[in-house]
Amino acid sequence: MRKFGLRQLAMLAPTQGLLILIIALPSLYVFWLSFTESSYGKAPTFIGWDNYAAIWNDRYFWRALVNTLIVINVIVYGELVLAFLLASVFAKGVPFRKTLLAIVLMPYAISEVVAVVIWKFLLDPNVGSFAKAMAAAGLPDINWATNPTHGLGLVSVVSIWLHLPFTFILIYAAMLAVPKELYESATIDGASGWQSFRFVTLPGVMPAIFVALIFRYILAFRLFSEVWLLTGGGPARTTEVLAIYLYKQSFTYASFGKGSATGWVMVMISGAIAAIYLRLLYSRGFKQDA
Amino acid sequence: MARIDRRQFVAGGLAGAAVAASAGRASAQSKTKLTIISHRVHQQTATEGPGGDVTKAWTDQNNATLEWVTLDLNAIHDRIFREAGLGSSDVAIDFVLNTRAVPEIMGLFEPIEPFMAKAPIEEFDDISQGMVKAFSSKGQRYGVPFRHAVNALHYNDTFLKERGFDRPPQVIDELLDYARKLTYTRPDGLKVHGWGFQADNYSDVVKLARAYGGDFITDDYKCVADSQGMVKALTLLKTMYAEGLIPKNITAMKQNDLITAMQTGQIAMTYFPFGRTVLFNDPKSSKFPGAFKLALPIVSKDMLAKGEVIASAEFWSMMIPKNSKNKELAWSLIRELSTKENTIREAVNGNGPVRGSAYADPRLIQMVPYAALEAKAIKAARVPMPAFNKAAEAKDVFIEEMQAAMLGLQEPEVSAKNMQKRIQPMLPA
Repeated sequence: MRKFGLRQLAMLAPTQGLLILIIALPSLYVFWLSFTESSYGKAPTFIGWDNYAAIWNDRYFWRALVNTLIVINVIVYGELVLAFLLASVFAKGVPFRKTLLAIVLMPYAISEVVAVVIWKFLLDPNVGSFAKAMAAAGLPDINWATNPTHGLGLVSVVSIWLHLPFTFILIYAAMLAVPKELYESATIDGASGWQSFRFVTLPGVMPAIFVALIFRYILAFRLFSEVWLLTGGGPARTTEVLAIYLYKQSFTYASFGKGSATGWVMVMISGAIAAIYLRLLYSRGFKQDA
Repeated sequence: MARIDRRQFVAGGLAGAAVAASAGRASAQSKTKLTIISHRVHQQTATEGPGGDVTKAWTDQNNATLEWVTLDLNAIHDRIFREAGLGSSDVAIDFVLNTRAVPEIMGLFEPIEPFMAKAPIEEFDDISQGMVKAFSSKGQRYGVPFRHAVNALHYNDTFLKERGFDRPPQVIDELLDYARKLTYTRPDGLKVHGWGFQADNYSDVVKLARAYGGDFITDDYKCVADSQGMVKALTLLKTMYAEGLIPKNITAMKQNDLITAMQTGQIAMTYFPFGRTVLFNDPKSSKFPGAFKLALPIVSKDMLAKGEVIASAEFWSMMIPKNSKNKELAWSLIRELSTKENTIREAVNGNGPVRGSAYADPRLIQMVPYAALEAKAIKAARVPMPAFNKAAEAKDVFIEEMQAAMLGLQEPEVSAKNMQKRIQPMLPA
């Protein structure tokens, strides 16, 4: 292994410096802000842990946390299952593979705002073509604007639709990388289809699954635009998620201290979730290669 | 055909970008850009309509261009205050709503006194001094009023006639019956809802409560949301929603969605500022041009007998952020937008004029058919909620409790009590 010296350090320094400048320092500033009372046109005043205590005692924070945890689990695991199924189909071979791949990847190229507005319009109960088609087919209405379960359900569907390509491409690439010889050996040894999947495919794609889970958990935890543009957190604040709660505290109520405290709580929770999966990734995925 | 290789493509791209950048610089050097953060309605009434572009002469004379950053009601103020909190900003003028003009934020803006001393606004006393006072703090004035938004009842007369009505509802007891009859499917398949309102705001519901004799927050900062009037208003909304007289997705409809719903005939009646009738009747964007008419907001029987009027008004003022790089030019534009002549032209474009003299102007009387009705409404107009530091939080509590009552998640009495209990501690002592 090459020696890590001053030269290497100097080459890394610009990147590290940039990371310190745009991530570490603002994060520390926000951390300090979380211990202050601060608003527009008002100098911050140190108030200790009061903001954290206020959040802890705020039922809207807990509701937003529960909504977030439910929705991100539906999104992340829904995406994983769909991506796995799609990748399996593609790995076995499909006609017009390139065209179908382009179709599957397309949502990732669409802006979140545009995508949400399109879905909102399609499911508008008064004029939406999806809503009208569902009514014509005798299907029940989706009252996404007034029923919190329907609202969060639609948020999950839109989010899965938007981000499925990310999980799919990771798993598909991993599936293609599993050596064909392993399947041939399994067949010679008399393994059934399920056994080939369980003992050849799954271990081969597991690291990719953990990587997808970590990234999607962290990104989904910041879920904002889907909820903000569809329901705005309503009706009656029942579909609020943590990022909306943070936004309201910071910019609608101009309570920067509480907003900052919420931000740090979010960092801690998503960090804890990521740590669990990183541990799993290390112990089951990469350990043998380390 | 000659083939372009990768190097040529990259070189061409860079050359193109350099030309575009230098052209942009040249253009920027020749004209000064002023950024304005406002609602779309401000840009519209200042630059479009029968009154023409009010800003044109000024931009020509000052060799300037205007960049209007227009956003929805809540987003405007989030953006304004965030920009104003920065070290410096390109934003020259902010349009701020009266309920957001709380003492806490005044420090982010320039007082207008020094500008007035150097270059006063034409006949400033003609501008509503009540509105000027609302944008004052500690003896300093911070805003120049631009627009008032006094609400009227807008109704689609074609629908009313189709359903056998020869006049709009006048008293609150009629509203439910009107909404029921006006909720129907037309022969062309268009589903019409009898009533629509801004369910992400408090103003329309406060008007209903006032028509029932109730209120929300008094001018001396007493929360009276648990009054019978408010309970009745919430009960009315609950009934309307349960019977499908209001669009199902009303809680997710923003102001612009409501405007579209009116223009496309999905809603028969709603409250909006007077000037919106121009938009509702615009042949370019409305399916029913000429069908929309105006009436004074609905009142109680007693009030109608006494000739009393309920009108809620909110108003917008122009403010110069302290961190603005171009304050003198910003003031110059504010002066231009506030002249007597331009106030009339903006009113003709659909603005609510803030000068008392505007309503006596023969051009306004001739070109704005609702001028007399609006003048009557503005005399009686009150803000739906006075400004205070926690106004944004109080608004959210109101919306939350109102929506919960309307959707049947809790009884209207419970919602009204919750509003009272939660909002009273937020008010100034």
